Amino acid sequence: MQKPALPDNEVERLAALQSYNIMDSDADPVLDDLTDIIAELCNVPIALVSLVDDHRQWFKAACGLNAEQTDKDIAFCAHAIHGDDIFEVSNALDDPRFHDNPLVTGDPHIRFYAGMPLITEDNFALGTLCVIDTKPRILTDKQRQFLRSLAGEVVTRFELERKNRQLMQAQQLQRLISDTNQDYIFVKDEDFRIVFANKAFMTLYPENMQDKIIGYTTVEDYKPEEAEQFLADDRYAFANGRIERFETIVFPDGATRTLFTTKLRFKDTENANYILGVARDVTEREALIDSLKKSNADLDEFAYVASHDLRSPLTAIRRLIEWVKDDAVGKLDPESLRHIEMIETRADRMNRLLSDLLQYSQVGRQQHEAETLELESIVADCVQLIDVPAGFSVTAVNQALLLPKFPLELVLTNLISNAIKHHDKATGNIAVDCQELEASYAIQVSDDGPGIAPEHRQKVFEKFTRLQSEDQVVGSGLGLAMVVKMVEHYGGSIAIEDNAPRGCTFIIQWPKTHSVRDH
Amino acid sequence: MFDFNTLIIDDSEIDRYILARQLKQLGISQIAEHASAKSAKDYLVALREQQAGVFPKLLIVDMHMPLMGGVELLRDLRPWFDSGPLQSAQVLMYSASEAPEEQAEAMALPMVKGFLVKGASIEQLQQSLSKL
Repeated sequence: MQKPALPDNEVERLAALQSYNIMDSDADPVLDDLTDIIAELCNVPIALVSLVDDHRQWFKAACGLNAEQTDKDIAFCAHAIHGDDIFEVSNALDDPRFHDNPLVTGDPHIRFYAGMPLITEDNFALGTLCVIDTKPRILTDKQRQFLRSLAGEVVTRFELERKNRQLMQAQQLQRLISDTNQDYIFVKDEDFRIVFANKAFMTLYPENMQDKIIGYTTVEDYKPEEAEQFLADDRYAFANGRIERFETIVFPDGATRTLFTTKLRFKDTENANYILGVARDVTEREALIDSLKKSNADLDEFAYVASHDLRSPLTAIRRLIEWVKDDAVGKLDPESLRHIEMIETRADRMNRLLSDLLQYSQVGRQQHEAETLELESIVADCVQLIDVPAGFSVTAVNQALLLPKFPLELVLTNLISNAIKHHDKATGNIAVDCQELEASYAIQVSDDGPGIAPEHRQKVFEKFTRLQSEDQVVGSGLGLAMVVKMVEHYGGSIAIEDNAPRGCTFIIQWPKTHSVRDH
Repeated sequence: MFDFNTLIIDDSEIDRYILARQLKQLGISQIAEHASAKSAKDYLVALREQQAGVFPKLLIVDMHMPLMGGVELLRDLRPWFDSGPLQSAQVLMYSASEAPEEQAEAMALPMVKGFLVKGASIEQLQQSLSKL
């Protein structure tokens, strides 16, 4: 007896067989009928749909044989799957490969065998459709043709079942996705009836109403004006293909929700129009935005209180102490006069801090439009506001700019006055330079002061940060924080570099088309 | 150099005191002070009822007062300025805030001729008055 050889592509062939998931599957009446028919057509007692795996042949359908499977080593079919056409043995007793095969010498006493390989679309032979007789015989051409075409039918059926199974899996996945999706998903037909709704959508309705969703318009479950609005949206989506809207709706479960709803028109395979609706619950997000707006308003209010209610007594103190000083000269001893002066400077310092705080809190609240500016004259304006000591010079290049005036002045005034305040010598130069780039202006403010060590460069931009003590340098510690806030509000950035031979350079990248951040 | 009959309306006693003292230093002697919009208005109504009442030529009004602020009071008194007894009077608006939008709101009123930030030095006050 000759054992069947292994096909060259056995590993791939077994994987293909696996993909059909048919080994040891339930009986298929259609295939049972088909084996009956081919047995009749070929005039033989036995016909099988036999599938060959790594160690056996298993019969998916059988006519005239009670066995379920046999060893692969003695299987005729394991020989048949090597070819691409019918494998025929007219008398096994005369065939050296099979004459001593137990299936020949014993039950079912095979003499004649003809098997047509079951070849898939990917060219793998899964097994055969075969006919068997206990007497030697030869098939007619016609019978061979029947065997070939019915084998093709068997494969087609396997393919179909595999596709069905894949489809079901995909459908189950789709259902799982739509069921676990927290968005409300629904499909409406052209009569505005709901034809599909996911779990989240269904739970918007009390349990006793859930059987009145699919197949219904559900408009009567909503307030008339709300129903009117979403029907109008439905009509718009049918007419124009798509609509998006924020809507606040009282739902049948009694809850009021704010939704961001997208409605999209689509056609099914029969060319009928539907809309797919996906509504995202943004109730919490909207509530959060509202409370943020409120706390922004509170902040504005606070800034106002700071400016008015704190400042007004402070300015009164400042004025009164000045009068006390005027009257006290010559009457009070020098130490008391010095104390009065200390009150004056502290009151001034507090007043400046309040001004800066107010200004800081207002950065970004107002939107300033870009206008055509001359850097040189802007810098000259800034210098007017700063107490520039003798010995210091502030120079600027002549460059035309298209930028918002007030924000630029605020930034330059702070940078220039910082450069002067923190200078370590009695004389110094501050230079304002500018390069126009394609999408931004690179504005540089350079000084010849002590410079800023690299490890401090990040820190100087933080609020209430000073690198020197309050008594050495007058300031609120808000100047650079304000500069950063303003520059970033207009979409720009700021960096510090060394200036040669000494000092540092603040480099601002200010975008030309400033994209304002939405607060 | 100028001696206007002046009316100060401000809810803060200290601010009224400081302003009045500064005005006196500048030679203004006839100063009436009121702590609220209502009391100022009552005073003006009483003046109108007297035959020989002398109306102020200068009103210095705090923008922010409880119950009725400066802007509201001046809107209320608009007819008095348009064709009434305050026709020749001018107003300096007075505020602790230097916010530009406040200043703009005040200056939008036709009778307001100047805006003064509280805590102004006597020189600044003098400058504001000289522009009237």
